[in-house]
Amino acid sequence: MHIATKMKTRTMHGITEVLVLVNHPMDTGLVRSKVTHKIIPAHFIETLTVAVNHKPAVITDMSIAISKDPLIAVKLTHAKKGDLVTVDWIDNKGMTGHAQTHVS
Amino acid sequence: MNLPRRTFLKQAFSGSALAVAAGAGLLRPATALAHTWPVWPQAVFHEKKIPVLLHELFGHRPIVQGGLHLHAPLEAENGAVVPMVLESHVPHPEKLVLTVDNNPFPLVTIVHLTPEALGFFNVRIKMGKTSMVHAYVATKDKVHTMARKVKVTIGGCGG
Repeated sequence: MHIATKMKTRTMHGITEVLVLVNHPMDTGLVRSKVTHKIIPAHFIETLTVAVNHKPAVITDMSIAISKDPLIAVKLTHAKKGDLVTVDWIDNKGMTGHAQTHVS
Repeated sequence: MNLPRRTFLKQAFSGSALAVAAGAGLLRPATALAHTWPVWPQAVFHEKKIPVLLHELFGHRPIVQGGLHLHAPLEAENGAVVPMVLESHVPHPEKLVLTVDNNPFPLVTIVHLTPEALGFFNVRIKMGKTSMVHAYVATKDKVHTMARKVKVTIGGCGG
């Protein structure tokens, strides 16, 4: 299974906003399937890191209470035009995702 | 405290063909970062008692009102997607925390900030039912907080 990770940045007045969208099921492990009547096992992003030029800027520990297909935004203060912004995440099943872009 | 190792590491180091195949797919982005992933703090995320949770997160730092703003809807039609914006006004924020009192596990997220980042976080969360939502911003010696009540018409736990 491939999980798409998308990101984009926009800079205004020296502050760079980073938007991250991950198409992740974020299953809580508390819900019973309406079809099989079995508990759907938990599957959620545990940690998501936004880094500038490979240096972590924001590290987010997430729980099952983050909505499906998480869309998050953070703001960076020191990012300059052309800097490499990367996002990496890992979930409780060991799957990872990555996206990168340059500050425009 | 000795937390269990991540599933990721277990898979990465077990000899099964499946794990190797999965590992190979992961190598591109993850190799450089694999050893630097911070351990997900399972104990706090599973803690159900809010005073204990706050103590584990912030230790003995005093908790004061104000200093940040939590933008949350007064009423959420769909508890599966409730937008939240945390905006801190205090200098040198270290971490942002979001909790929902009436969720099965109150802690929603911990955001660790570096000086490169503003005290800002925008996320969409799940809420099982109407509840108080608390946002916290921790600095070196203090914790600032703000709460909002969000009314949920349809629960977020798949109902």
